[in-house]
Amino acid sequence: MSPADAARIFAKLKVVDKPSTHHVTGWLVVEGRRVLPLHYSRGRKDMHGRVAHLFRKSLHVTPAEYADLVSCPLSREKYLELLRERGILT
Amino acid sequence: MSATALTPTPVVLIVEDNRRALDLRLEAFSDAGFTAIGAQSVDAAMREMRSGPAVDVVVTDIRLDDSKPEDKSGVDLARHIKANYRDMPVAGYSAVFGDSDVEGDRDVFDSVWPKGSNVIAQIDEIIAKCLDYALVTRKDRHETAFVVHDRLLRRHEQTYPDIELMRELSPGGDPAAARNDSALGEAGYRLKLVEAKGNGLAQPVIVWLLDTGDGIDAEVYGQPALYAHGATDTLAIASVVELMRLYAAEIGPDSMEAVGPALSLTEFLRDRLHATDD
Repeated sequence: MSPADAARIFAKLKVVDKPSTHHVTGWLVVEGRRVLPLHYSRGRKDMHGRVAHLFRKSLHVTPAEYADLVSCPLSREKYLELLRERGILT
Repeated sequence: MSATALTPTPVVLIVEDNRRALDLRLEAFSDAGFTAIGAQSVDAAMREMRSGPAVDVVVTDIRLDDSKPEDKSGVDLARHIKANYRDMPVAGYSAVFGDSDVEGDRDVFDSVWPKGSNVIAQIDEIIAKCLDYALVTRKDRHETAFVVHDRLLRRHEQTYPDIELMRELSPGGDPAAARNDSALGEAGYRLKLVEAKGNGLAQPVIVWLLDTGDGIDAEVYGQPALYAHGATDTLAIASVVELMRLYAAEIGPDSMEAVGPALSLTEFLRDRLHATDD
């Protein structure tokens, strides 16, 4: 899992982001409301330690769903549907 | 936080300008089970107070400069310690000043052994008294630490540093039952309090730290969205604090409505980065 993968997920989910020197912070915004805070650190290498795992957790998805997010099958609409099922988004 | 993580022996700081006299006292206190630290001047003593392990009791000679017959810088040191380290017991002794000489200074000392006391002959009495002082200081410090720790934990009852890990720790059981600090501690997590002062915070923040082999992961207690990696504890924590600032910079009175995890983070940041009436 690299920062580029995280950037692709941000783009796919239309995360409203704000890059800074070291981090890219953002919010998943749905119907004008902030729902999830999401972020990743800049860099070329893969994420250190368990950061990739923590990034997945912040998205509230399982490893399989996360893989789908990275590799494309899971769209923003389907992702929002998952969040509704989990009570994150009402 | 556990008692076993704290220094097991009482710590005494002995301030004596005469090297030989200092060594004798260090040896006597060490033999009695203390961790004994020595300093030969007021400045050195204050350095030890600031940077050494938690001192439980201070024992100081009253005259710390033999070249000045009237020197009573030990009294000044005691006053300074009392002003800056509330409830720190300070014992004084002197081979120069008698009872009447120190009468006006007794208020800054918890005990004084003036000239004629024969400090070496009474060393056992002094050590016993200092041990009493040290144990009270240690007990008070522990109680204060636990009260502060518990208060902070009560404010953030829920924490999700790693749901999957907690489920692994309680196979077949209630995941909530595993949601406790000791289980995470066994899994290698460490709790650390990030002081408000020096970090630009309005209130302290607790973080979970995990050594991942290639550095340290830091997660803010109760805020799973606030995590970062760093080569050391300090760098990981600094990165988390920077994240808090970045998010907080986007939260203003006119910012868009926040719900769910975003609302939780918004409220947390307002609480931690801005002074409250609390």
